Amino acid sequence: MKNPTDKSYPLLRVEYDKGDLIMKEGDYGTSIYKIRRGKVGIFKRVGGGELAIAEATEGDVIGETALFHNGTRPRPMSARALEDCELEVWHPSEFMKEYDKMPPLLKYIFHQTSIRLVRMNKVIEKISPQEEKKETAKAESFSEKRGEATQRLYYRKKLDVHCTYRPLNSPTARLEGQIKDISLGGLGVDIPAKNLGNSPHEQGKIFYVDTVLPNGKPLNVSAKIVRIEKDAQTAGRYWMGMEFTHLTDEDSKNLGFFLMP
Amino acid sequence: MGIEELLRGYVAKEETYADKAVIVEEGAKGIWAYAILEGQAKVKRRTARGMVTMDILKKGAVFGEMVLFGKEKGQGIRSASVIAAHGPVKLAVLDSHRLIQDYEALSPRFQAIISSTVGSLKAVTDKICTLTLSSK
Repeated sequence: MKNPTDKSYPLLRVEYDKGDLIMKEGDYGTSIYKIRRGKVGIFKRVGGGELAIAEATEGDVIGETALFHNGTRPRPMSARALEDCELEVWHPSEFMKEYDKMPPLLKYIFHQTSIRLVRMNKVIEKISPQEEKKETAKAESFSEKRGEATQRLYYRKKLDVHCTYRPLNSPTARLEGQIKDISLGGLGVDIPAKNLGNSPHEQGKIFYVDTVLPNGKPLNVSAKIVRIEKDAQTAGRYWMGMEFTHLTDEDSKNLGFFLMP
Repeated sequence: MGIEELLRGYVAKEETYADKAVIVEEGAKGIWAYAILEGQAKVKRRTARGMVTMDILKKGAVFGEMVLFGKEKGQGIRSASVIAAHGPVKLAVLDSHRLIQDYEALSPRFQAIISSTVGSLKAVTDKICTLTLSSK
């Protein structure tokens, strides 16, 4: 009796034509499907379009997360027939007894894998919109580039947040300023003239800059001065334009989100 | 049930790795799965932008299981590197033979569901790596 479930449940088969939607992301589906014939594409919704995640073929199983969540969570992805398909339909309830009786360590590992999958699905949701945002940033940068006033490569967003910064080789120094604009390429900082007396601020000088973005995300970057000039409006203040010399993936992501229109 | 209790009868041996030591390497062959008993490890993937940390594993986390239950099982190619982080890490090397026996005692449908879950995790992780790679 290696396989009691196959006998006690009727075999239910369904057919889909090429292009048909088999599972819809966001639906509360309970069926698990095994592909008997044909090819199925797995997609994730991204903005207005779809992001292809994987392809499944004969012998593969799709919709398996339904077992773990038993229809209490929406489908994380959509599935569409890429060819005419024949699928076998399984219902989670047929596996419940077996799931309960599974050796504890195997169950534990399966549980961990399922949780990692839920988490990775969230990660992909988070990083996908960034793709679109980058497109927007690129588009804006091109339109900015066409303008005569600026040579900026990146879309810049205005803001007004406090920051601390220090030269690369002075771990204990602490200078203060206000970030006035920021892009994926760099930032503009308003600083008091006295900072210049505490530390040289010439072009090319690299500083560590620490701040918290208005969206609550910390940003710790290194950036070099590309331009520094007296503030024309306010006496005793300087404005410096800085270019990032190092941006971690995390910072780049946080900044990306903040810059999203 | 604590991790020690869960692992009873499944531990082939225990190993300790120094901070930053590579436990499994992406692309290399391997047949072992591991459970963390003490310490932490980072899961890293190679991308065009260098090594990217995908996950941080702590006590109780099992890794390396993809070579046992994944669709490509038998080939035993590691899909990611796991590296000791923030100090040494103590691991239980799991008895692959016994885990595979447990797995093969399940109905073919249930095996397919587990294998598919592992496969989906791999597919989504692969996609994340491609996206990370193209997003700069």
